[in-house]
Amino acid sequence: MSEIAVSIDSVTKDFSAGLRLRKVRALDGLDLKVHSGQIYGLLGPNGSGKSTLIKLMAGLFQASSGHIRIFDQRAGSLKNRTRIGYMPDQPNYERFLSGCELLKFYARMHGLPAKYAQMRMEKVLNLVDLQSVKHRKIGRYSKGMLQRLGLAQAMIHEPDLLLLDEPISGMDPIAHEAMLKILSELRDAGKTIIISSHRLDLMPRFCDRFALMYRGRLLAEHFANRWLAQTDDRVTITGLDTDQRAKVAQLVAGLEGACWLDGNEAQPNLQDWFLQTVSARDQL
Amino acid sequence: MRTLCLASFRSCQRVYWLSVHTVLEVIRQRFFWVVLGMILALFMSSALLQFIDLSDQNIKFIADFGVGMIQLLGTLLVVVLSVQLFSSGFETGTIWTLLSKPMLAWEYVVAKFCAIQLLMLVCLTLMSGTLAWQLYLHAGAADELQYLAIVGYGLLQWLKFSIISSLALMLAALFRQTLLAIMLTLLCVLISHLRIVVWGPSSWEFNEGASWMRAISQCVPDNRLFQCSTAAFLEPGEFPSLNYLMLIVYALTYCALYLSVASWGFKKRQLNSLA
Repeated sequence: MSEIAVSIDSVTKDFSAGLRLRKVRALDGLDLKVHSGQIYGLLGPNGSGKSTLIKLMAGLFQASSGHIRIFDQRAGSLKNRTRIGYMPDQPNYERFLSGCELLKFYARMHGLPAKYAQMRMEKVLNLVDLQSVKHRKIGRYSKGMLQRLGLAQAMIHEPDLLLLDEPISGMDPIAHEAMLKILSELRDAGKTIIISSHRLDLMPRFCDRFALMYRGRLLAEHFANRWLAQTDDRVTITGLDTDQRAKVAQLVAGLEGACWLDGNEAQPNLQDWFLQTVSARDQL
Repeated sequence: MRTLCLASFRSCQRVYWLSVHTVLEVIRQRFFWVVLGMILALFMSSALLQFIDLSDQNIKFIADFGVGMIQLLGTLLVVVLSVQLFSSGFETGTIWTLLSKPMLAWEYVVAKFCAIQLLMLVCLTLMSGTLAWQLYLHAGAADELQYLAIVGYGLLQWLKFSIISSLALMLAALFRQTLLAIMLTLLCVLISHLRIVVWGPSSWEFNEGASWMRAISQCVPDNRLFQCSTAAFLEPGEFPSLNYLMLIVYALTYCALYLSVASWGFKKRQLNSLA
């Protein structure tokens, strides 16, 4: 078993809201462990506490109670921040800078030597395919470009842990496939990635493990391969053309106790599971 | 010891880069250039005063006008600049990425302060330079003007603006609303000019209320310490014999105090603000 990259023990986060400083509980006694070299997905509806959890791990917030340890050190410590790359949910970056200037600035904030910073900048710009627009002002970037720039700034100092808050929101299918490919490559290079997303369809396919959060609590946790393999009595046939599919469907229809699922139907429906789990929780 | 030195060096590096970043933020905004242009245009407008016949008071009038403009526009500029630069990260959302970097709260506050001081030094140089030029045009002979006094006055104002800037940063860190922070800072500046009301009159009998007011008034600096008569610009030997070292220590003490509270407020606001 690989080492534990992130360990969250009974973490609660309260915010004060409104004029009366009413307490709002964003996270409620949350426990979570993420092993290094994994892609861990956080699922959940809006307001479930995904962004708060990621910000706590990045050291942007302080937990009201409980402990968060990243690579066996307190979250938020200076040393820890050098090992973390954080990408916020809203891709807001300094519009008056060019992509290249922004990356240089963040490299300097990490204390990277000038030559190494330049080398890293070129590398991450190539990786996220922004080399051609690196001198363009950020104010003129599209949403997809901003998301990729966000990933580039998170990776500039070669962190061991990437915390990505909704990294594929607002991206077109081509851009998000490219983003997922980059993240898979990073995982293969031994990086740990924690990602929050609303894209239920992508989580099992792309993450090693994923969790469902709801109202600040962790409702369920799944290994993606087990989720996909819970259909272990299924036989998957790929590469058939339309005629061949029709013939196989006809054959299967003649078998007792067997049924034929075509295309998307064949995938376990994460959305149904998500809605059932959430409504079951609401009924408690 | 070596670790401590290295950590201090890294801190200084981060403050430097963040200050450069802040200066870039300002000079790449059209708004800053528009404001600076307007200030210089107002100064230049004093050239029109030559058409008004004030006999031998003409130059004195221009000097008073220039000093008044430096104080009024400088104060407005430093307050708005400080609060705006501090809060802009929260308003635009850029702060979250920056705070995830290895950076301490005080480094952020000090970097903003340094950047504002640099910008104010440039603005004051321009304003004092324009004033000196206008006086030269009206005086006719350069040797009548005390350039050193004008430079000295500019530096005194720079010290004063550094206190106002740190005060504005403190209030911006403690209060979320930009407008509220600006208004409160201007109120504090007004109070600092009115300290004479609680300290001045000898007719005030000693009572508990007066003691409280005097104690509270210590929370704001005495801006009158940084004033000098415009006669110093025009006549040799008129430059006030202020204790400059004492004024520097006075300004640094207030700045350190305000910036410490600002760092504390910023950290508290950062760690507890709503997502």
